[in-house]
Amino acid sequence: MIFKKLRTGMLSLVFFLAGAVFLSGTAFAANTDKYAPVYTKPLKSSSLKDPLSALLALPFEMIRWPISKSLLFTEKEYLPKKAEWLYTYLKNHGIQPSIGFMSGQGMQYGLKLDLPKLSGLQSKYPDFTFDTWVHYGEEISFRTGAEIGVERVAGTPFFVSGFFQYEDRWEDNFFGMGPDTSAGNGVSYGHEQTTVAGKAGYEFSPEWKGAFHLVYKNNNISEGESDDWGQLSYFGLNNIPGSGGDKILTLAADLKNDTRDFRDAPTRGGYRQIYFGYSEGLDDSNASYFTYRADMAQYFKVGSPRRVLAIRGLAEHHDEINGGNVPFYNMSKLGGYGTLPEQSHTLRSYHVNRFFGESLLLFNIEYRYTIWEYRELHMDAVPFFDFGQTFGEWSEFQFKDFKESYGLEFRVYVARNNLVNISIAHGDEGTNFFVRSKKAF
Amino acid sequence: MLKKIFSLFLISVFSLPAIAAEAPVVKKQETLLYRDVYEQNVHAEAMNQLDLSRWGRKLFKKPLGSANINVFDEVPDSAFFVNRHAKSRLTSAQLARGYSETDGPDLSGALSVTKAKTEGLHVGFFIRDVKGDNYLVKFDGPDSLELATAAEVITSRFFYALGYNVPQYTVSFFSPEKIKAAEGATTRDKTGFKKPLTQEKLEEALMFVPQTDEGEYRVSASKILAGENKGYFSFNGRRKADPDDIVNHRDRREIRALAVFGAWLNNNDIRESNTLDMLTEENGKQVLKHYLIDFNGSIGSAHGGAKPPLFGHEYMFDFGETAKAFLTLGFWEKPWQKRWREAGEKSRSSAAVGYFDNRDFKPAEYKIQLPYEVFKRVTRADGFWASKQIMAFSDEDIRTLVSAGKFSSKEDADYVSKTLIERRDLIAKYWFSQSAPLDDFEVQNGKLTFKDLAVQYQFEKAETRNYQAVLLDAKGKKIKDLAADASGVALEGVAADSVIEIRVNASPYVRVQVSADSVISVRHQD
Repeated sequence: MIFKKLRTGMLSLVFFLAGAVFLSGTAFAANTDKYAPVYTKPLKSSSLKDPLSALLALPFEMIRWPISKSLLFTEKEYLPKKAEWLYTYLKNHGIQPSIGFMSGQGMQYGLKLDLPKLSGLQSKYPDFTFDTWVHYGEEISFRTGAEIGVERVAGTPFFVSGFFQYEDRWEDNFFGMGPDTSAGNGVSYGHEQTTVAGKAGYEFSPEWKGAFHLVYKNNNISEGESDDWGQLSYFGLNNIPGSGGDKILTLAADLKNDTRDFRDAPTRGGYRQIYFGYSEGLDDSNASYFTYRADMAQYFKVGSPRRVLAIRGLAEHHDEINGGNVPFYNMSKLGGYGTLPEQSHTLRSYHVNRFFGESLLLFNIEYRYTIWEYRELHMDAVPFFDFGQTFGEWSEFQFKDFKESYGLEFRVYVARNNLVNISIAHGDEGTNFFVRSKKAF
Repeated sequence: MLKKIFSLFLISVFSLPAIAAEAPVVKKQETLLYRDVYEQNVHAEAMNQLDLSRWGRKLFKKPLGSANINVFDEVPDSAFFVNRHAKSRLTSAQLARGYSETDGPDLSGALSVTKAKTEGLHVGFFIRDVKGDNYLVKFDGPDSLELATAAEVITSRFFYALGYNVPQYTVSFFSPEKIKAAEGATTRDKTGFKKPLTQEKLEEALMFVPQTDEGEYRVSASKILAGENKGYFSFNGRRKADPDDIVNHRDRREIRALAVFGAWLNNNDIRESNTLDMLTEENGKQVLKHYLIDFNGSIGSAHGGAKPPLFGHEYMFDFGETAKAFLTLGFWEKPWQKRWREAGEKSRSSAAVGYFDNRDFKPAEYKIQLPYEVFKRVTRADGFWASKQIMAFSDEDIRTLVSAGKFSSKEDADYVSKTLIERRDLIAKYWFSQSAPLDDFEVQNGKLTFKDLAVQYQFEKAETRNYQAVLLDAKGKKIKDLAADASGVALEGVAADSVIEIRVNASPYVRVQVSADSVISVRHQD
């Protein structure tokens, strides 16, 4: 200790003398070492922040440590690589798990199995497909099914498949039919549906494809299980076609044309689908109707692939025949994000299934422009405008019945594959927020 | 007199810590890319908005000067930086050789792979040569032979000549049969789990690595540093456990200046995870030396090939640029987007050079990919100092340094040299225009003489330069004007220890304290 003090004292003296020599002027001759460690004021570290700023930052500093440590651990342990490998391994072996969250609809769990891959037979029978799946949505539905088919029959462009699915949706909503219904009159109902279907088609080219469908559906309708909504009987069950459930056989044909350059983030091209179906109720069902649908979207580059105008139009009509009716659950439906178009089409500021009708007209316009990019990642901002309506016969169509919805969405893509979307939509009945991994169209 | 004695006392005391330093007991600190991105691009960006002093300095235009500069406005040698080429010109041979312990891996025998490099941009392995020396060898990406390896070695030479500590980097060539998996070698394959590295796995990893026309692999080989690895060094605070580490790193001029040198060498991948602290023994004393490492994201190179066009123009998450794009509905086409579009979205340089030119290069707007606060703190004085450093490299010096990259094509080497020479001049011209670019002050024959670097390097014509000098009192108030021209400032009637403030064409000032026959201190305005 004494030695240490003595040493420090000696060093001080040496430096004092050195300083004296330095400042006496003789040390500043022309050849003075201008890189010498001589300072005008003490070398010291000031506080990184003033006390008030440090106080303001305190809550954020408290979360910084665990986040930083977690990220370090994640990278050190190669967790993203492990997760990616595991996902790819399972997918390559025909196992595709999924998990997600949808606001108002709770957690979603799913599992899809590609049986040829799983059994190792895919390389031997590359055109043979056999998928089976199960999906559970915490607050709304359960479904399970399978599809078996051949993509290129005997190496030709013909394809065939058979389909079976059981689905139980215990929390669907109904607000009445036509454009003039009230959101306050919403009720819930249960919909149990068993589907058996067959499809045969021909792929004319990579862009053109057509198919015939034969579909049998057994629909059981029940009162909804939610205490927060009224019951279907509120509308008078006799006034709602199909409220007792139906067995329906449908014969349909469709033709699809897809010229999009990228499926998830197209910058040009478009898709067009036309569909015609004839549905007839079996046993004591009164269902009997034709369905006509045209759905088309076109994508236009606005001077740059970073700016795309996307326009979509959808027209659908169910035409009652033979004095029959269109069951309400098979009518055109409008409202919500449109993630599952067979349930409800895109009118984002409105509740899912907000509008029912025998006919539907819908237009969606999006201006998609890139606001950030980094290597394979990019983010688009998407102002959008939806307007559409459901109505009965064409003669009942009125311009004033269109409902509007507008808002803004941010979409993140990895290598042009849609990763996540966050959107806010506003309309006459309020504002909706969405977080999705699939875009509207 | 009392004041002078007090000053002497202070100087003595301030100098003490470096001398009285004990052996540092410092812990290893770790960082990787994800953490760096979060800390800088998310946390620090948000915290900057809550930093009232920072806002104050911004509003009142009071930048904070570097804290480790000496009385002559220079950066003294330290464990971070040793003045080299700008202080005393290195020979061509020294420049070409850079920091060097060996000539590279000994290729007279097999190169045993002890471990695969599983972090970073390119395929790489830790190897041991027949002499028992350990190296990290990194390969070029597919279809871009020479790109990453040349960039890494060239940039390491520049940083070394500038004064930074770097490991030894060399370009080496060896035939595929030379490289063998050693017993016990490990890797992380595509599963992310640690696995034994067998010869088969090694060959699999090298399958897409390009080879030269002679069928050889080309690598950048960095010799593993001696000493104890203590992890990265922060660009913000200091290591309090290290008694030599006195100044916050964000206030160290040589670390701030990395922004300028990064712009010159197109090294937008400077980040904390590309630094390394090594505890070594020098002259019987333990010293924590601070290194820059990993330069294969420089010049025209980036992960997997040529640099993406936005690199150097935007941060990884650039909130400002994103906001601009958002508010203009994407119709404002950024300069780099425009030129990329005009080029047909192809780099015109060769695959070995990647994406590197000076079109749209703006020295003050170059962005290192993470928004480190230290790089935003570069003042005019820091920029002037950094520009002095890079102007110390003559055209021939630059060609010599580029030759270390061993381009097989003379055109490629010439192109890189030409671009660096042009960029050197663009940077220096800019920073000299932001300061009073005067240097080498001396008192001679009753005059304070100096060199105007902007004139010396022919960025400005001598006849357009108008020098103004004023004598200041102790409080920094003007006493009187002094006669000044290109030959210097007349010191007639100027007392010893006086401070003279000089400006060139109404530039920021440089203040010089003079005695009767010498210069006492120099300070450029921040």
